[in-house]
Amino acid sequence: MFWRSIMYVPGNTPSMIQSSMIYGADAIVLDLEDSVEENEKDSARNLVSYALKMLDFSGTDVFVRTNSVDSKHFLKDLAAVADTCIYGIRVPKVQKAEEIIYIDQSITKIEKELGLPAGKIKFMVSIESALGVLNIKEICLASQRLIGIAFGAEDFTYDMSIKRTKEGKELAFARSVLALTARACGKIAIDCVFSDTKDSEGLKKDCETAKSFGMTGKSVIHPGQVEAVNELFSPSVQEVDQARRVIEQYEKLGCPGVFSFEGNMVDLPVLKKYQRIYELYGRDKGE
Amino acid sequence: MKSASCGKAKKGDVLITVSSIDSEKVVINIRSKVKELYAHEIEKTVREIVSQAGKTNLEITVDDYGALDFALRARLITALQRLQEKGDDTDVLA
Repeated sequence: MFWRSIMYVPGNTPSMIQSSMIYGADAIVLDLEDSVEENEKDSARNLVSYALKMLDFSGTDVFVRTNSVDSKHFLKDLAAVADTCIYGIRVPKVQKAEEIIYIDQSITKIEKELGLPAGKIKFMVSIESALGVLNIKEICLASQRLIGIAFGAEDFTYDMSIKRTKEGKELAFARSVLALTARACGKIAIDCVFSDTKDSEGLKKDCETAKSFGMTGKSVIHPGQVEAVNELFSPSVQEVDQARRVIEQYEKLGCPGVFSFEGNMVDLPVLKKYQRIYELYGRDKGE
Repeated sequence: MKSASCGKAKKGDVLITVSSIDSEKVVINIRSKVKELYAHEIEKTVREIVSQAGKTNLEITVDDYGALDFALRARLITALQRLQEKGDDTDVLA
């Protein structure tokens, strides 16, 4: 489970849904929330449900962004997609651990009703408010089924009554806390979207910032952003090569607790970093 | 006469309008640039869904803009559900 790019796809646009799997995103999120007008929630829900049952998404992990738990749509959204090929759901605007427990219980209930294997449907949530940021630790610890935390910058800056800039200094604390807490709790940390789809240099800088905070991947709003995000959240060729050589040396020496490689000490934490890089390289090679 | 619709007049989509009529028939009108090639398949799918929903007394107009089967099915089901919400008392399969 390693998603560098997670691409949003509007849930009420057939042409975008049917081509969503061809752009190379590690995962896609079919959206029933913000991109769908209130009076079209029913049609988007049916469209996404039929798409998941009839289209071939193989090779791309699929999430569905439901409406928030305090909306009248959440349980209907969940019911419409539970018995499909989804990896999980993504629930927006989560602020408290109680909501996580409610989501977990709702999924557990529907898995039982549909006779699905317990734990089949995973979920991620988006933190998009000041209260959500303050409660991240409790949110992360509230469910084993919760696999990741994403950050929603547009709603966060609205909630904070601050202006969002391309440099993103106003988001630094929230992004850092989110990534740190998610990592500490064993969850993945997904960065916010970069809204200017024509600014490739800005996207690159934003990815580098997110990566430096410890984000594991990034939400994407346009297919044209996928390749750059995948590249920027992947190790370089040199890093992968070094990881391979370190691991080979480690195995050649009989897996010692600590050893020297090209003049640098490699102990367990350092080795783990190289192993993680090599794991990602293996994924890219389809191994 | 009650009616409901779903879908958009956009490429890859289909706009479906369903209306209740006074005849125990299902009347299907299809408009599509690819009507000669796909009208038969579209009508077959529409009749299958209407039959599963146990519906009659309907006129269904399909304005197709190159929709795939999943979109056709989803739009028709939604249109039927919307018609039901307007007072048709038959359950519609989702």
